[in-house]
Amino acid sequence: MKTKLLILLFASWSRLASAHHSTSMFNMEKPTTIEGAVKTFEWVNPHVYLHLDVLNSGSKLEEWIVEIHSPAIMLRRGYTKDYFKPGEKITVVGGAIKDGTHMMRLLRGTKADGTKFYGDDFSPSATGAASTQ
Amino acid sequence: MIATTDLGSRPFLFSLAMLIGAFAVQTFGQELPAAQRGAGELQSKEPSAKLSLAEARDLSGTWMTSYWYNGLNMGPKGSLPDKESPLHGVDDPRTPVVNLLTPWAKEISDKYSIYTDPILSCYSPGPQAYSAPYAFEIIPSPGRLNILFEYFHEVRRIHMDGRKHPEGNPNPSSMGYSIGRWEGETLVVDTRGFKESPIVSIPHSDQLREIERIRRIRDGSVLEIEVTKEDPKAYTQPLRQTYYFKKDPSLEIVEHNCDGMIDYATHKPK
Repeated sequence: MKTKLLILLFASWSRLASAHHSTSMFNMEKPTTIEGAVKTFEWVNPHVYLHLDVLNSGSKLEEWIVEIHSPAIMLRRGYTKDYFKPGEKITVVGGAIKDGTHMMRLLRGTKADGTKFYGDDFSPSATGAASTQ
Repeated sequence: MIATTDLGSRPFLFSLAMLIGAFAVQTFGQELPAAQRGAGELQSKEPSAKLSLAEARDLSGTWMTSYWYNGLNMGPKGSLPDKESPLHGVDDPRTPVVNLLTPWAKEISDKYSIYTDPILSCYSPGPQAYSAPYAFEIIPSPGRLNILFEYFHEVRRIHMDGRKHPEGNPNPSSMGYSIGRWEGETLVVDTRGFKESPIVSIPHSDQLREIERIRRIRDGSVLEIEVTKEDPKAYTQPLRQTYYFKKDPSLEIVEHNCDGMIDYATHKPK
């Protein structure tokens, strides 16, 4: 059941994600998890971006860019440009870009207070994908 | 009186039509050429909405990808079609579309990588403006239907005044030159005059011709758009895709453009 759910989730996600461009440049099949602090939340078209400060294994700060969806889709799911605050600590799961640079396409995430976001239906109170892993 | 395509309620007429069709094929021993078959008839099995002709022909309003309302196809099955049919060949629906590209189109497709796809440089999506899950608004004006797409702010003007396409494709464009006419409750739009498009997933040449069959179905709140693409330079057979949109007067179209696109290699703005 869980496997079926995840397959469905991925199928629906990938169909939407292809709206602007293929996601084949991202490793969506092998998601990466990172923890970091929000540097900026860039509310721009055609995709909004989270810039995260992440401590790497060598205890050095590196910046990751997390690509999400367009403002139109985010807005309709209840997000605004103020959903993430600078300095806020979050955990995100996504497909890292295949060229090895510090970029990913978001699959789901969790705020420090446990609030899940961007799960199966992209909503700020995400259920499904975010709660099954 | 306007003929309905609700075949289910007229089993006798449907059977008769099938018999005549079978007889014609057997008698004359040949089928229509693929291109004519592709564009010549509605393939959808959905009955049209039971509306007055005036209501059926009123396409005005804001329409949004129907599966958006089904929890992205994750929620309980509702009254809406929950997905569009994938783009497929009219004659070989199971063959991957990439195998239905001509060598000319394949070469274009192969020229770009996933990192250099022109769509990432904000190349106009052209006919892909129906891309989901975005909305569009149809606004009629005298002699025209205007479609204002949310996706990349594209605009289409469908001429309804009986004019012909300009001879010789004098001004190839991303959205092409669209002429519409009514066949009962179905709007048939014939679009030509495209320019070549290198978008990797589905390139096309300036010979592309799109026939759209647009109808209100279900209770009238769903718009079905069946698109058939013919492009002998790019495709070895006509391709088809069906989209569904739900009328949503409360939905506000917001700005969607390419202003903040980044370069995936450098992570810097383009």
